[in-house]
Amino acid sequence: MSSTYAIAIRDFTKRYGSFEAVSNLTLEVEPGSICGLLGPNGSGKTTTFKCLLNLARPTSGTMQVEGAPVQPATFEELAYVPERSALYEWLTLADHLEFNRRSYRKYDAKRADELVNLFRLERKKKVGKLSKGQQTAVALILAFSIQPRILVLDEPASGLDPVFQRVVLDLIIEAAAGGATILFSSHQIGQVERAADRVAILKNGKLIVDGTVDSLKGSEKVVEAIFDQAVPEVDGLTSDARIRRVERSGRILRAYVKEDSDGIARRLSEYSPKNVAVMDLNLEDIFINAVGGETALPQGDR
Amino acid sequence: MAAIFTVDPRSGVPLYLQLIEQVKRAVALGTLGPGEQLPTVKALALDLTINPNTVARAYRDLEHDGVIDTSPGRGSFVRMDGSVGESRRAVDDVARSVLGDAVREAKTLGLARKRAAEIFGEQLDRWFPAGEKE
Amino acid sequence: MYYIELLRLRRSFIIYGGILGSLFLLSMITTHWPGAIVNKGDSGTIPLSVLLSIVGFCAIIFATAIGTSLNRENDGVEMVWTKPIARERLALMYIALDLVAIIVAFLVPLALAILIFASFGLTKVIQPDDKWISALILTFGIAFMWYGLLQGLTSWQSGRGGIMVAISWAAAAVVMPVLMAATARSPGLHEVIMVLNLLNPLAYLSSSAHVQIGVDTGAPTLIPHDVWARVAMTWGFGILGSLAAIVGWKRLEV
Repeated sequence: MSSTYAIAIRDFTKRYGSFEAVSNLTLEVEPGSICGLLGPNGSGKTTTFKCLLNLARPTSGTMQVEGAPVQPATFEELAYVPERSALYEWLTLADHLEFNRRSYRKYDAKRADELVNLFRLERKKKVGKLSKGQQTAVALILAFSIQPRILVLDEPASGLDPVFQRVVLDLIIEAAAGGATILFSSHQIGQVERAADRVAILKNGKLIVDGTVDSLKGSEKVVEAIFDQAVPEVDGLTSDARIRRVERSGRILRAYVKEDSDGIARRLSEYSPKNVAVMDLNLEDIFINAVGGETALPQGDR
Repeated sequence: MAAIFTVDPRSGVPLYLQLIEQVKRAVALGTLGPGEQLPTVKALALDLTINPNTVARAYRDLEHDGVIDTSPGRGSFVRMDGSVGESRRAVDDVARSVLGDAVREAKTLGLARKRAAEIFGEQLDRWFPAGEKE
Repeated sequence: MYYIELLRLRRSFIIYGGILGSLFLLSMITTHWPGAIVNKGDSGTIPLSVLLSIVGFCAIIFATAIGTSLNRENDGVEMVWTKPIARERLALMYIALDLVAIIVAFLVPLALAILIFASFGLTKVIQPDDKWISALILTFGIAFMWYGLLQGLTSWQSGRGGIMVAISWAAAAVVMPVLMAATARSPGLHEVIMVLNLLNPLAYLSSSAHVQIGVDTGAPTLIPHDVWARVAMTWGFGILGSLAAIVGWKRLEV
């Protein structure tokens, strides 16, 4: 445990007029760790990044990097890859690299070259003519080539095919192995599951899940009870704070719990099921349970 | 080194625990010999495409359990002494858990104990053909 | 850290140089064509202030072309705002670079014009008069004023600044003179138009030289006749506009 978090967001709220994009978000990222930020589109991830980096102003709350609000000097050690391309479409990759070389003390030209070859990019082509995935690759090269201590990446795999998505993940892991701190958002939950120490899930601007991947998997489980006949009415199941979601189908009852799965299992046992089992969930399941709800396909006539 | 360890990130079991089990299994089976060097944290993390802190934690716990020794600057090595015993115990634990799950599953399917034992015997014959030791 | 602006200016200069170069070549070819009649002899002199004002007009056009340099960063401004430099410092660097570019944009057509005269051995026709210094400073002032107004109006907007440039030209060259003339007989309305006209860079041009540029309808105007007062006002507006641009850009949220 270190005394200063690499990134400390405390009680952060951002309002646009009457619309609250993010509400009371607290997120702390340890130095040298990888934190994955998940959430549906519009849940406030990009807004959070923008306010963290001083691109927008928080309505309330504090955002700190290495113990202080972000200042120009912070960007010698912090690299940002935005969701939407911020590149100059009329310039070439070579121009962008030269811009980096002149702007940062720690720019590593050799590293940049390695990455350009790795992503198989042409240096003399105007960036505007590159595909979305290639533009993402350019932004990543610009970020990683300055050897930053902190990386803030908004959808870093956007537009990339699976091979290059793995490359991006490797870059993140390599940077973390070198002591860098990474905060990234992704829709690729499998990536986050492999690489992240911590996961935070946002929904409608609120933090609904926050913990290490291991502890989440330890507490977020599904308790499945199979009954002899139709599932009985179980009192107060949906109002139980430990339960995220309940599924009933024929003789099976499934309760997706966020904690105390054993307690829930005991409760269900009181209704004399044929079998009660506690099963693990992967991160994708955890995410969908936490966030989902209104997105199930219509069933037609039941 | 690449083929020795595999982990399943989608499993409900934490990755560091999976890794610890993998190492103990390798030591118990002799795939990793006494004194042999393990991959560096960075190399293994990249190889498995998992978080380096996960690897570091697994290595720390393995050292705590007496399976490996880590010296800064030189790397992590399988201990020369006693680690095989600990690893064998760990493998036993895994086997107990896997077989326990199988028996519970059989019970859920409604098998009587006698029938379950019969089928289990069939499987033993299948996988341990007569004459094969261990 | 201002590398991008350097590249942008380079691109602008290539276009600017191309246009001027073509005009230059065209002039040289048509006037040196065998059989072309060029009146070299007796028409007297061209005051330096007039030449400088005409050449300065090219610089004014160039100044408006680059006057949206901050606005052009705003689509994807994360790129420069996540660099280790304070926003106001970067904006100041951009503006300083642009001003140097405007000076260069003045010198190039001046050199070409002199070359044309020189090709006929007529450089002595250009006579320095007592107005040439004030004309020079005023022309730069007008360029800077227009630049400053454009920056001030567009730096905090995320839209395409090019439209503002076109609108400003339409307003300065056409709309304002028409309104000035049209309201000449309606005192109340005319006052309002006169005040607005103070923001019209082109209005400061007339009688900066012997040459009348723009429609001089004889209508009353608030723009001072004294050339040094015009210098003060144009440079003042340029500075104010630039300052407003820097502040507006700094406070922008993405």
